[in-house]
Amino acid sequence: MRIESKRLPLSKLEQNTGQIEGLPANPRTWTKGDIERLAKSLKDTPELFDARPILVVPQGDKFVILGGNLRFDACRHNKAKDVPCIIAHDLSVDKMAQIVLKDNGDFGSWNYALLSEEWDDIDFKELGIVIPKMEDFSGKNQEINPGAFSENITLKLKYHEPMASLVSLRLGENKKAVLLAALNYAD
Amino acid sequence: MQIKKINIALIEPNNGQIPGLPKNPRSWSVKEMDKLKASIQETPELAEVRPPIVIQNGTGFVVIGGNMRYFALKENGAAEVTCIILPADLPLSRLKEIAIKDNSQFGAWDYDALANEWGDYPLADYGIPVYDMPEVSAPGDGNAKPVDDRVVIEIELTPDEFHFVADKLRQLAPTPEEAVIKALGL
Repeated sequence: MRIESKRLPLSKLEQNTGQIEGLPANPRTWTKGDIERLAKSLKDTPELFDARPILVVPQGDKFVILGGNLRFDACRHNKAKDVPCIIAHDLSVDKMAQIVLKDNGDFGSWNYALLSEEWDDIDFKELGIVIPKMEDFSGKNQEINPGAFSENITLKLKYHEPMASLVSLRLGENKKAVLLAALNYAD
Repeated sequence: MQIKKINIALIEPNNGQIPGLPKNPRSWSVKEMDKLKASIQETPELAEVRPPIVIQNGTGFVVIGGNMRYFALKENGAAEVTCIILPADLPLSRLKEIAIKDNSQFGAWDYDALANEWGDYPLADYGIPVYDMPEVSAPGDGNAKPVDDRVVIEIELTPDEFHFVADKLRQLAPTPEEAVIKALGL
């Protein structure tokens, strides 16, 4: 792989819609709210964008985005003319696929105690980070995220009987609150 | 902003050694670290284009974004690490923003697309929660026959709650079903 770092005009970039043979379209979705929040974040912290440019591969006289498809929409929202990019040359389709997935993969998790104690000047809500508090999971207060930015996600758990009944019984009527409380304790 | 290969002995994780900058607020399990190490070995190209973000501190460097990656590269035996060096005069508030934002993520996985088009890849090993994907996460044989005698329990979550739940479940067990059993003490 050979890489080039440079700013490219937005008009030269294309989202990954499956136009590269053998590479499926970008498997991510986002809402208008995601675009708006990211657009603001990019403006607020331009150094991070320079450090984490949009990752593209050449395709004809255009460039297809492997990493940063949402950022592309956010830049359009900001009416940016050109954006920081890394052009990766000579990648196999298999490597491209690994990069598409891994660039959005995420290992590790937030240490919520540290976040709430020492990083409290950050606007977490604007970044889509919710710091869970025990009282939020008591069941009395399930609306832990009023004004959620995007549509809900359904977690589907599949069990054979009799485990399905056991899990249902334990989760009770307020499945969400019980699950959240259990996970907060289960560290 | 500079991109440079740095001797790994000169790099330190963010332990809170820079006055005013709290230590890295992320944690991970040994299992996750092993997966990241293997992932970097499989796709070293990604580590080259998404390297740790560091700032100079005395004669060395402190990792602002990519602390887990730094440990993974070190444990993989790297002698030098490609790093992005932030300008030395960046205000502390900006450093804090970078540390947090480099680990936050907008948007969500398209689970249908993952299941239908990306199923050849070991998604869980790539740090992708495979929770809503029965075809991919179903235990057992590879005869991709949908298992339809299982009972489905649905829990509706906001995206933020989902991320929290996904994070926690992933640390507990290889599949969400097992993780929930564990969490509920069954």
